[in-house]
Amino acid sequence: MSGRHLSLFQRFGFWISSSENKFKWSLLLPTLILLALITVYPTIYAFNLALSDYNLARSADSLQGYIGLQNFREILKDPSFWSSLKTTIFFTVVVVSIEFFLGLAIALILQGTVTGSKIVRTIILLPMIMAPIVVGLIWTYLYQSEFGLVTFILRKIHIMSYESAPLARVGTALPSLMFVDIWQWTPFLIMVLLAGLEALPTAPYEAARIDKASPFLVFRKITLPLLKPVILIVLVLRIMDAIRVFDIVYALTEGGPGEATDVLSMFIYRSAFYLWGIGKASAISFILLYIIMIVSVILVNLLSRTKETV
Amino acid sequence: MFRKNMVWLLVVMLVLALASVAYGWSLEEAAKQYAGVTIRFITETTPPSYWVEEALPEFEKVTGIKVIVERQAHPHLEEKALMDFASKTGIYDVFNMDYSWTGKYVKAGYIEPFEQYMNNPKLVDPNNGLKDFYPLMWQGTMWDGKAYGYPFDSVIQYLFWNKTIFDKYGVAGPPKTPDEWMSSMEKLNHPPDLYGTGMMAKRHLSVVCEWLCVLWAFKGQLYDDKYSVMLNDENGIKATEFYKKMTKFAPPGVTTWTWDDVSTALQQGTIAQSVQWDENYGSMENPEESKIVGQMRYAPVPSFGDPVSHYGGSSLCVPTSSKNKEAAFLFIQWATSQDIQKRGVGKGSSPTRVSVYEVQEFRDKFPSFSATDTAAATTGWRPRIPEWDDMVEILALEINSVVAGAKDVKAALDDSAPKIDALLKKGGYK
Repeated sequence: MSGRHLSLFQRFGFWISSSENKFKWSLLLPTLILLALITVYPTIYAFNLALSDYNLARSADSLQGYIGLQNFREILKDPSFWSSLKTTIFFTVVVVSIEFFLGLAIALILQGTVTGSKIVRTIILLPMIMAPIVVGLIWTYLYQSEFGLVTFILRKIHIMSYESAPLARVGTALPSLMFVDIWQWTPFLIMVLLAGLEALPTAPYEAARIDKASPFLVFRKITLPLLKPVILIVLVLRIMDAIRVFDIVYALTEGGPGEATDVLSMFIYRSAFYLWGIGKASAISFILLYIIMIVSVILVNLLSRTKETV
Repeated sequence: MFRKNMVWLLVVMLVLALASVAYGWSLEEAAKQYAGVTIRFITETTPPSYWVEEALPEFEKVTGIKVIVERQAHPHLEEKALMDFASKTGIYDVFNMDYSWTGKYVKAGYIEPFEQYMNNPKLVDPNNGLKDFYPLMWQGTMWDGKAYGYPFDSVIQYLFWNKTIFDKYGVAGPPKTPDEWMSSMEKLNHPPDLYGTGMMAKRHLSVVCEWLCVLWAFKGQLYDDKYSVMLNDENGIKATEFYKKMTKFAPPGVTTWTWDDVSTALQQGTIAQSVQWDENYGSMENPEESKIVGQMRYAPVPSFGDPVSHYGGSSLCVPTSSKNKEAAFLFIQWATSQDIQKRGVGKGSSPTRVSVYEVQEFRDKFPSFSATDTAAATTGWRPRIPEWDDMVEILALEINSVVAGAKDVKAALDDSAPKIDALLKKGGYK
């Protein structure tokens, strides 16, 4: 029987029936089952919820059950969704850009530093190893309008008046949140970029030294291209994380004042746990998932092209 | 003659039988068949919850029923409870339900009607006077003429004003009208050490509750008896302008404040007055956390009409998913009893029984008691319909936006009104 006339399932069946493949398959199976249970099933279940009218605060008989794409249609018509999407994109672009440039600069400074490097690296790591909700609570006190240390300093150096407070105004609340995120996650970029810098081959640098290339030229023509895969990986991770930001927003502002800090995760949380609309919240979660997937695919494609060229 | 004697005999026998039941009832006896049962009580982090937890060993010793108390902040209490009720897992047996949630939980079939327990002589303590509960608080637990729990926590929102601060600056208190109120805020405003008022203006339920007091003070209302939305009428606009103006004399961070932040500021004496919930009276008088012991006084929210206060209490209920309903009822009866409420007063607990507020010793020690007594007769309600959660979301965003300077008063109210109207139409009220 020629393989050309077999369906995909039949070919898969033949592949499995060979004893060597059976053994491989039996080794893989426990992991696949676990993965299906903890990832695939919840995702399918959540998608099912996204297509339903499920609301925790209403009895099962009052629910309409399957409502197709109605949740998605309602979300796309909701101005609050677009406002939170805009805030999320703005937040992500600003914090990831600043974290990247700051992280790269500090990593370049720390590269090759020997004296006290262990202590410096440990101190740098501290914000990153704290749970985001703890970070949020700490900054709630630092930003407190009466006795917060940051508020006090900002007022002393006349950046902020006594009639204002960092989280209380529409214009300052989002930058205050961004500052917390930058404070917490820049160390992550420093550590990854530093590891990347220290793993770079030395030969191109020696050649550049012989050619008497300027430090800027070395950075632009050697360091940056060689570091590109690391940069892309770290950017993928940070962008995915920043788009999903929730803990610090929940702890510091809950989306206020007004809609100033209402990011997508907060919008999902509000739909699920303030209005009990589990169906609608699941639908927004899928929209968020699609956004993250699209961004990740673009960046991963860039990464693979970079690997081919390096 | 014989028939008449027989009737008398029957009446006497009936009276004796009832008396013997009444005389013979004891918690220990009633709980005998539930000994060894464990019930789980989900409640809010409020003074009565702390006090009941402290007194629990007595109940457990007498009944043999073990009670696990789970305290949660207001929003998380509902998160946990709804998850349990909707999935019918039966984790919780006793639920501390905010009165504004009553319609939602009854309509969803999540809580038990109480009649079946209240009419069961084996469970009911004949000495537990139900008429002793404030009528308003008792009403809070009713839906369609049926009771769904016993009133547990008296939470009435009115004006907390610091008499020492008012006296120091020569301001007569308490203010009676909104004009007097605004004038007192201005006179008492000496930033950054002292502000004329506190506000709970975060994008949160708190801003809606406080704004409602001001709306009522200006004779405004959310919607009328026919469910026509009224919040953006002339009174609504004046009230919201007034509320916005209050921020001039409030600490700069009030757009991030809830009732907790107001409490702290009152205790520290950094604000001269604020609208606040009466259950905080205990923390004002606790020398370990308050700098203003003996200084606080309480009054209705200054109003252009009748005195304004805002009721926000809660009841103890039995979820339909509970597997220990009778044991749960016995616990509720004990936790809301006169004895437990009286003993909890010194612990900052906020009773729901008239007789507790009538104790002269308490009235002398806690000035809030006579204020609560007065307020309980005149206080206003926020809606109890299931659509209230959605209304809170709309109003919290819009009012907070006004206070934060992100939106004009009229625009915010005009944006809110059609959304609330749509909710009322969707709910079938009009």
